Amino acid sequence: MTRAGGAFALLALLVACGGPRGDLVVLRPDPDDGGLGRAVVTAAGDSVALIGAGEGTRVSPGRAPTAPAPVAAAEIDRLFGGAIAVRPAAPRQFLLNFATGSDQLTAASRALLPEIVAEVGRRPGADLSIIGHTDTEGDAATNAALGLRRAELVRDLLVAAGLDPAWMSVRSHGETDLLVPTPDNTAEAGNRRVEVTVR
Amino acid sequence: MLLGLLCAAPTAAQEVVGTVKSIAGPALVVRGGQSLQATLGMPVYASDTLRTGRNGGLGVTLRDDTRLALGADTELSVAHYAYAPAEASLGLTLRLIRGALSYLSGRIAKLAPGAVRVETPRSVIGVRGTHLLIRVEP
Repeated sequence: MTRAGGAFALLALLVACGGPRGDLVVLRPDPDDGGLGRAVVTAAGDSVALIGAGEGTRVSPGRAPTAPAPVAAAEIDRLFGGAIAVRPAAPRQFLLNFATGSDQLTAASRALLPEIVAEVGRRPGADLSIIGHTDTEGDAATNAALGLRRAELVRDLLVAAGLDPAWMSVRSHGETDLLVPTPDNTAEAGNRRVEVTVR
Repeated sequence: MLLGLLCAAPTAAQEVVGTVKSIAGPALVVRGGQSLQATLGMPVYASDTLRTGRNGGLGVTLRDDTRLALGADTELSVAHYAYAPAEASLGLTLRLIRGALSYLSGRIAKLAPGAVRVETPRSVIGVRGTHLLIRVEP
């Protein structure tokens, strides 16, 4: 093989593998709400913090992470375009409320059920989580059971509306996960709810 | 019957941690030594390895709303998953062996900042939200 041929073969290999050996970590704004997090990359006993939007660090074999630096859009596209293309849609949450101490959905919440069914229809491979919550009136064990009863009631309504129960996970958080913070033994309509998340 | 009981006992490996949401090209779920073709809506278990081939892609949403997307020639496993807010048990460790990962944080990261990390063969990434792109050339 000629020298030029050898260089070409090496280049072809690099292109086929996507680049030199090592890691690249890039911090990006949330595509849905623009929020920016933070990450700490540790390698070979050294750590680098990523705090700015679009900052990246690289780790070569046996080396510490490089100082954070912007990563060009073209490189993001080339290395991550395929992953970004299959990013799942953001889960959508629905809140259903109940009349005091009852198993009855309010009229407004009942009207949300067809929208939940439609949302599932828009998502191939959808799954649902149905979590029942109560306010702090009464004792914790009774409320755990009441939360589950509410979640099961919503499940039954959604199954009656045509959804498959195999897609659903049903559980109760009882009075442990208040939407409206209150002391114990407090009636609060905002806490009597079932959260349905369509993923 | 005893065997049936033993098989029915839940283990960490049998816990459903997420669901396949999107697929492009060749994408596999490796479970107990078997390679299964990924399908939309397929459950993902804690011990599964996700693997894509050339031009492949795979999107998975975990139970806490964490969203993972794998590019081509990628291998990823969920090494640890705990999502039980009522028992204050929260944690997520992903292992990216090779390829490209888009990570979008869910509720575990929100409820327990510091409980999420991604390990590669040569680094450990502590994730405090929200969106990261990670590439591993082994």
